Amino acid sequence: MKAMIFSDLITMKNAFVQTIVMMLIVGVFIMISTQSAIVGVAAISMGMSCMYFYSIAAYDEMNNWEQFRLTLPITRHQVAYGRYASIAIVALLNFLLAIIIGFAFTGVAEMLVGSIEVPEKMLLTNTDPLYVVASGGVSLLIMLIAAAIGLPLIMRFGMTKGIRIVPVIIIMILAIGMVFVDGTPIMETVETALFNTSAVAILWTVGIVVSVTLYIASAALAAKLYEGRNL
Amino acid sequence: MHEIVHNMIEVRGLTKHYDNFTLDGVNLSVESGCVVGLIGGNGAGKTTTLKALLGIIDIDAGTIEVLGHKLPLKSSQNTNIKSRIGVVFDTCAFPKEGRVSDVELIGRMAYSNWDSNNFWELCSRFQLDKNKKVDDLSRGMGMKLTLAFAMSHNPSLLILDEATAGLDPIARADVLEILRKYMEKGDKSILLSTHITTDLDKIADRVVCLDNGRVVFDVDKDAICDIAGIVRCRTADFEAIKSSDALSPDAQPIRIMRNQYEIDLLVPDRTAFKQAYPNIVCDKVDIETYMTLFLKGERI
Repeated sequence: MKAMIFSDLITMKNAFVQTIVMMLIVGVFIMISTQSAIVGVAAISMGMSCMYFYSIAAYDEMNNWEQFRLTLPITRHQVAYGRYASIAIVALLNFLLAIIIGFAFTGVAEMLVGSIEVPEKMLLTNTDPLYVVASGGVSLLIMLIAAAIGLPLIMRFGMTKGIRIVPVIIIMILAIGMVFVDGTPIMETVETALFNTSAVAILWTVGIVVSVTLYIASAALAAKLYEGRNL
Repeated sequence: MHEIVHNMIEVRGLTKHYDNFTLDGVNLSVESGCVVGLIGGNGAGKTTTLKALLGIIDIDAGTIEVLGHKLPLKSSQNTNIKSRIGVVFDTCAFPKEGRVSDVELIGRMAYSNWDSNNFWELCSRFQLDKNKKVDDLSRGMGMKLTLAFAMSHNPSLLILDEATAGLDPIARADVLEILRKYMEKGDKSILLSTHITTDLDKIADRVVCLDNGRVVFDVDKDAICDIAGIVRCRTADFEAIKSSDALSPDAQPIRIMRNQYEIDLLVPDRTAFKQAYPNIVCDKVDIETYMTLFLKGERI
């Protein structure tokens, strides 16, 4: 599996710098326009992870790399689990990087006070660090759930075909979820918990456990699906 | 030490159905110390056969053994067996954003028996700069990189699909020389699928030809290049040969091709033919001509 993770990271090595520069520009633009680091951090964390997710899947189909990779001493299971591992690693690094950028932005804003007019919400002293971390964290968990839904399809059908099916599945899950939730106190409970400081920790724990469990289960499913794929 | 296997590859009755193509009961064996050339027209089933050998596609019927192990490989055998096989496809498959040094890193991560010195020696011989991006390599240079990668873990078996395609004649000669040296190490084998049959004239021991998913011939190269012959004769000569019993049944022409001014006959034994018909010219035949006559000629 180590070989698969490294091959993914090596494949994307040169694209990382471009992605970071691109998302830095987008993130700072969002931070300035919303006058806060919180949304920008979420955008950077999510944006970079999404770009990695789609790019690495697209590279598989270039020049028969996916076929050639199966001739290396790597099993299909290792390919599938390695892909999940590389996405999780990159998503986690993006989360950390987004937080660093967020704090750096508010720090720079703080330093500029006196030189130019800076909105108060932008300042480091007026930014709750927990909110910055939480915004990146939510993006990270959403990314894991999105990958958990999309990856088995991409592993089974390939990027070109799989990516056409992913939106259909997501819409179906949302529709079924809404039918399931409608008339139950679930949404109300979540809303209450979000504004209840003592319940936030529980909400986070549940969120992390659910996302990670879903991600691991998805990896097992993807490994099974990839096993039977003719390339 | 790895166990010694007599046949590096043993394929029996390999069958794979697609909507508009069937690989139909292919038998193929590659003995230890042997270079086997796999030839045939486009869409004959060469690449499908290689993919099946490499476990990239499932098969519908038949059995495949690679390095003494039956496919599909068990998880525990997978790493061990694959680390003894070097593969070159007809394109340079490495991620195009990567550099030559990244390819080396992938090899180092993937193979426990990776030999970095060997890789860099081959890169130096092929004039591959380690900082060059894969995307910037020409087709020929890309194939050289793939070949260097395939040979840098000292594999027992090389499976090459159009490995010399896109190479200039000098580079091709260089590659063939490397393959020849590789075979000198003993207990090595090569299965080489190619359209460039002159490469097989130089290094193959046996030639297997596929057509429309079936094996149409599987013969020693010497039986083609040293023993068989081509007779280019007039209609009258052909009629005389056909009606005569001067040739033994196994020396009779096996294929004919009618051209505008002459008739080409493929004879399995040039010497026997010359003895029977000393006045009719019978030339040596190369693999390409043999294949063309076999695939396009009429049976007698």
